[in-house]
Amino acid sequence: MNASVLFQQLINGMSLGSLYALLAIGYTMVYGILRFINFAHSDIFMVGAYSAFFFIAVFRLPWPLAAAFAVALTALVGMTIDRAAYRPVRDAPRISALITAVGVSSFIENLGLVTVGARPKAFESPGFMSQVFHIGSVAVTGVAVWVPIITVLLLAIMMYIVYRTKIGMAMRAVSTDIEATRLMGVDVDRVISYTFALGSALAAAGGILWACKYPKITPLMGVYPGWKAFTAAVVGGIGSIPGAMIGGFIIGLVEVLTVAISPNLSGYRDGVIFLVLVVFLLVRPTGILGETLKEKV
Amino acid sequence: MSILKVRDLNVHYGGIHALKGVSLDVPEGTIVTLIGANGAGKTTTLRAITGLARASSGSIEFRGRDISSVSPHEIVRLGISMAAEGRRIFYNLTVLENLMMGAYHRQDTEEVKKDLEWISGVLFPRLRERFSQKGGTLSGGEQQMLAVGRALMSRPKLLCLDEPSLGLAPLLVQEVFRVLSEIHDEGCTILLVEQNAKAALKIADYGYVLRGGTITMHGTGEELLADERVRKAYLGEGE
Repeated sequence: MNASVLFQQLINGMSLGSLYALLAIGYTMVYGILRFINFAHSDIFMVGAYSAFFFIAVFRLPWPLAAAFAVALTALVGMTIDRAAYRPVRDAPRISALITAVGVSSFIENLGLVTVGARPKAFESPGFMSQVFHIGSVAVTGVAVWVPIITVLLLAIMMYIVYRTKIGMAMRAVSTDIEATRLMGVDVDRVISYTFALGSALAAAGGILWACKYPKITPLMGVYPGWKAFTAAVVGGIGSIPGAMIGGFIIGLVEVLTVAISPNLSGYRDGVIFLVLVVFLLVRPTGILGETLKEKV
Repeated sequence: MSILKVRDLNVHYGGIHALKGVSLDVPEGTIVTLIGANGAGKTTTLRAITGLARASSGSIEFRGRDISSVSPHEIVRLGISMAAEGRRIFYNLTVLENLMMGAYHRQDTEEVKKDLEWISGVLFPRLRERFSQKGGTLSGGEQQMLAVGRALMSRPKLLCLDEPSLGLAPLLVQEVFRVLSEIHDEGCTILLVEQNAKAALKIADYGYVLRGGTITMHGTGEELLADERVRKAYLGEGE
């Protein structure tokens, strides 16, 4: 493999990795606060892609407007799921929330199959995504260039909200100690609601960008990206937002480079990622940036 | 006039009848203390007052309004705040952020600034030096100051403190009690739960003794300090 091929693969890896990062944030944020894995998050990703599809194909909205509406609508869907499915089991044991999440995921996928059908739909991505860039001897598609750029912008906005605003401060407080946050006069349910909105908005953006990259969308399109993003969240350290970003990029690079280095392994690309998951769970379950539980008496 | 009136309060949790008909009064502008052994129901009483534990019967009246079914965050807005047992600092937030969390629901930015000035400048100057440090990096004593300071940031009409001296070195215990009198002098009403009964009764206007979920004795701080039974059971004297 020569340098220009390697460079091209690195760009592809970053591009795929940023999509995993966008999706991983939602897993890690919900886990950080509620200590369960929101399995329905991968389906939120799908809802984002389909919303954009309908806004473009049916309502003929211009692309940026369609994307913005889709993100907003998906954020609302995320909040609704929390309100309808998770809030009622908030005080139940964690395992109840986990099972509920599996149920919600199954429900959304099957609702998708019933309403929009299993047949893939062709996603119209905007022109700038299919443009080809020439950097020296390397040719890369617009998707591979724009996806990481848009992702970094979105992540910057998200970081600003979490680390520089009042509601973000409350989100971080809730993730440390829900009861103590209540004692500060904070309506914790509301903060959790906003957390779902933020995570779902990023997942929607991920879903839309994913559809630009792989323009055939189906109701089950979120399943594998979801598992890999979950892996990314674990690798980065579940509960840690910077960890989820780093994990996302790592998983994207591992996947692309596995295939690039040994094309024979291309059939095992998913398997390699899950091997990474197993290894991390065995060797370092707290991930790269994960919090080791520290308690002070 | 009583700012807080608890009447015949019963609390059950996990199959345990933790409070069995507790009644107490906290007059405005006073320090009232609740003493008793471990498991007597002191913390449960505070949890019921702040809305974290639900009363199965009885009433909790704050400034003339029954708050026994009001949610915890609303109760804070009504004017009760608590520095909970174990400090409960947000270890991943900075000291300044911890303090600002205490004022989360307040809209009066200017007044919040004044309170921050008073708490971090006058009451606990040590916190100011540590503003940008994470809460989790503070020592136990500093965390306790932060917990009390944070509770004060909501500018409460009633401040509940659960074991503020627990696990602190004697010098720091004195420091905490000095600050409590200072807060009291500023006009804040305090409901204090303490294991350190002697120190608590000394600064308290009135005290209640809890045992097995019921109030077994009450009187002014001086009366209780002088009482034979209290001295034996809670001040470690006699025999």
